[in-house]
Amino acid sequence: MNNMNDKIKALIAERPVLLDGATGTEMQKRGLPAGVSPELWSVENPGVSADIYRAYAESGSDILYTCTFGGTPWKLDEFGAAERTEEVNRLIAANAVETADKLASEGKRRPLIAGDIGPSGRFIMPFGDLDFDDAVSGFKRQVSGLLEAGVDLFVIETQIDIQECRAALLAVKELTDKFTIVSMTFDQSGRSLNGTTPEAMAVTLQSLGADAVGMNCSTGPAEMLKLIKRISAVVDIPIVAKPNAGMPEIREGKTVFPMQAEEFGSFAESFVEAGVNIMGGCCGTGPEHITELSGKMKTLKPVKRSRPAGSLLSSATELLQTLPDSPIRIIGERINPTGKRRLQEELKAGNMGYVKKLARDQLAAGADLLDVNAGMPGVDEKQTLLDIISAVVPAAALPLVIDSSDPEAVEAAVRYYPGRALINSISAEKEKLARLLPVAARYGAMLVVLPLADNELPDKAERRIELIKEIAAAAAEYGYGPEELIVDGLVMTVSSNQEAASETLKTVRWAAANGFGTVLGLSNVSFGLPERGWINSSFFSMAAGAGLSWAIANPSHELLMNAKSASDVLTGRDMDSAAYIAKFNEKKDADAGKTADPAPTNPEMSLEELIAGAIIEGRREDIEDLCQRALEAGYLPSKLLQNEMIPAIMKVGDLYDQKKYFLPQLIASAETMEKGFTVLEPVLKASGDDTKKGTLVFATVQGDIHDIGKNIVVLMLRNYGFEVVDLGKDVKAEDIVDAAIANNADVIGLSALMTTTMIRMPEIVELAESKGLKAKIMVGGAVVTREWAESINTEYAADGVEAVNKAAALCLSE
Amino acid sequence: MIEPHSFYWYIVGMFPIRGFNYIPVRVPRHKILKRLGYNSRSIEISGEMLAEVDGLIAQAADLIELRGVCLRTALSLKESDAEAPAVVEVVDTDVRFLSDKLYDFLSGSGEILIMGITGGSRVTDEIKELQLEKKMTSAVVIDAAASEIVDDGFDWIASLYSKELVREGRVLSTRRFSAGYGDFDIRFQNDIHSLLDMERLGVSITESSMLLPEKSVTAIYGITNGDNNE
Repeated sequence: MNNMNDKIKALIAERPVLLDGATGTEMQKRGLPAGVSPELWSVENPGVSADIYRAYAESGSDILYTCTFGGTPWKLDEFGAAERTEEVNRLIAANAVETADKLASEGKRRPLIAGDIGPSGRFIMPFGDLDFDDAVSGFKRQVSGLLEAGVDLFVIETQIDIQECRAALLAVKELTDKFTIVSMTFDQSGRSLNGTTPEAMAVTLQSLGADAVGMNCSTGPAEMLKLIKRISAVVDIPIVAKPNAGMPEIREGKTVFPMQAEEFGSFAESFVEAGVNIMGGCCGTGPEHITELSGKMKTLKPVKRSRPAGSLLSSATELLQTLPDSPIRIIGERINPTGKRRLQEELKAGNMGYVKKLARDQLAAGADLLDVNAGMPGVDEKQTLLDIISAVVPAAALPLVIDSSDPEAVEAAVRYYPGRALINSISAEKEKLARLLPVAARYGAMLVVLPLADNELPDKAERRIELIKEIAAAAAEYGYGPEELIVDGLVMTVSSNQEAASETLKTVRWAAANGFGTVLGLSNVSFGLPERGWINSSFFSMAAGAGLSWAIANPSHELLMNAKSASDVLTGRDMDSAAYIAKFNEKKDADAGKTADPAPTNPEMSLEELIAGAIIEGRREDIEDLCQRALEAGYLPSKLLQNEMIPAIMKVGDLYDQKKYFLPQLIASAETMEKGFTVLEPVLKASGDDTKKGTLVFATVQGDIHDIGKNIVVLMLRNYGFEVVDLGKDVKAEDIVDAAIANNADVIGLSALMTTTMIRMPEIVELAESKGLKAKIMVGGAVVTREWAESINTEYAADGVEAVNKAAALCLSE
Repeated sequence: MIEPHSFYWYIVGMFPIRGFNYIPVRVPRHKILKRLGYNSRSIEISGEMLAEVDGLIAQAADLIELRGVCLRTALSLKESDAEAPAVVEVVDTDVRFLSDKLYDFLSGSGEILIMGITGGSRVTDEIKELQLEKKMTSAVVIDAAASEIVDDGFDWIASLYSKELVREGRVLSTRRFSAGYGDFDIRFQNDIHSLLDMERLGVSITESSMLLPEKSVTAIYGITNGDNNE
């Protein structure tokens, strides 16, 4: 540990530490022109930067940020200066260090200089296309320049993406052990732009080695204070806050940060009480705000915060905190190719669509974490695991369990994963332990502890406990407490050893009593037995009673998930049984909803009623069978159509008009009707009962390629018994008129979505008139209005229901 | 490692275009349901149907690959007179948008931010396929969801710019304006498509100024003048 870090930590322990205020706006006040790189300008104008550093130091700042916010190679590249990254950062930081030294030589307090790293403006994988390791390398160029100048610490600030924070932090940590602050921006919604919560940010970065975490910019102090309280509850490292001087306002066409220095300073006490150790100002603040803060902070003492309880894991966006009385956490096991042919094939083909689906399905089924495993022959495990992470992270916001026996794959995965992962697993196998522990510690991952050793798979709980103690002692040297170690009770097959289950439960009981988390891969217990679900769910409940806190399982197994819900209640992990009641009330409602529907097998309902009901309810899967049964039972299709189906679809139209149905319901009913009609149609034709209400020629006009609206109208019209000749989209005027003549159409229907294509409509009207066509013309589409329709002497229909009514009226008037 | 004219910053004419190869897909469920006519006060719907709709919305989100491009540049404004509408001129180009409404929208802005976004072709292909398979319910819901999700991409880029602009003492307009609305003729979308070089996103434009793939959109935001250089 270097002396400067000790000095900074001592200062933080002693009193709240004061940062500076905004730099960019101070540079603009001193002549920074618009549209130039502040960094390059700063290099050319060192006196201006020195003046700003001095002004903040004299206002009371303990730490000054170097004017290198845009000093990443990517930002400098925008000004053609990427190749000067190291030099630009070195020169600017050297100016800051020199100013600090000069202040000291004048007998004033020497401020500390923090090498400032701002956002790159790029997005890093898995959220962007910039390779993670390339990002780390790029940041290292900036860090090198700052280090050369002799900065005292680092600050990574105004970040919007957790993965970029991680890349920048690793860049610093891989070059130096200097104290490093990481600070993100959060909206008033309480999330970063990419959706990260303050809690997830704080835990992810603390575990990756940040010395202080916090937030800056985006909001004023009042809004930021609420978010600060949230991170203060989940981390024990120092917390940083650098709010703006309120939210920007436009006054007389100018941007104004409304908060005056006195009001800004008045927040100091609340921030320190909320756990803030290091505070300054961001946009809109100047030396006067810092002076005010300094005055208020003099009398304040930092609040002591203790290590938060329980296990803390995070995804890129969410925190998962598991306390002893938290519900049992389900680790979804399905992204594991062992014994799963489909997944194996998809992984071999490099297709991640199925992996994403498995992730989303498990999330929907109630998984709290996702196990990811790429161990199978024929693929590069490391690369496949990284590809899986890239696919799963944007698809499901659950923390990941990195499941691999290959230490190299594990290292690559935890380095890349934009959250705090759980490694599955570490054992007492000496070589692996020595390799994995430092890796896990470096990237801050939690560990599943598997009580087995080289060539030893212990049967008895006593030996397993010895091994757990051995692994825990080794992990403690890397700073791991028992709450960060999840003991795997080692599930063996009960069919081959009757005592296997009880030995596992003994192990779980001991581990839970000694403060460890506990996990079981449940399904092994029932291997070789019939009806395994009963064994698995019973074992789950017994393990819950023994103190199980995590389970690796398939969350779509209803029996098991129900056993989990019941076990949570019985072991006091579901306060007031609230989750249980909610789950089963919801299920009851869903079941009740199903039985309230006129089910096709309901013996009390006639086939006619069932057919009408299917159309009204939009049950597309039932209608063909019902119509077929009706035909077989001797029902006349024409009567079914006229007496049941058309009234049913008309009722749906009414419900839609009354806003009791919305569009998907209207269309589902129309689709149902169409399917039913397809069954009846051959019989109708054969019997000559397929009389149509009229013939329409329909088209989307030339130049317009949007046709979903027109297709809905066509579907509706056909259901109501009209003959519709659908010409498709982008159809020429001549083709439409010719088709109308050829089919002796009663009505021409035209659809247009854009103003540029709507103008085709009057051309068609004119052409039809010139050819003496008697067919009426009906128009519709997004930009078409009733007035426009009237102006070109056509009829207007706003939607499918109106089109049906209008078509009926137009055909009758023929 | 840094390519001066890489995708993320490429030059069209004399303008640097900023590209976003990945925009997080956020699902504005409320807006999608509203677009489909959902009215929570009057609707009668089974849990099954709502679950089907939610499943289709999730399917749309999975099919969408949001990518976008942006151009931030200076503008000059010319008032309308008796003979001609107002002009919004993109400085240093021959692009002139003739529109009183756009003029009003941008008055007070010193710069404009022009954005183009696409949801990619997977989702539009799926919508077409579903219609061919006569699965209109699925097609309609996915179509509506895709439109709203793509639209939400504007909000995401706008949030990013807002954060960046605030450091310059500038503010991005909270509203946006698109060609095809009011008197801002849809044909100006050709100029926007060309200014942003949207072909690089895989977005083409038809003679009638429609963007392809269909779930592609453009919009203009205003940026207020800063007061920092006074």
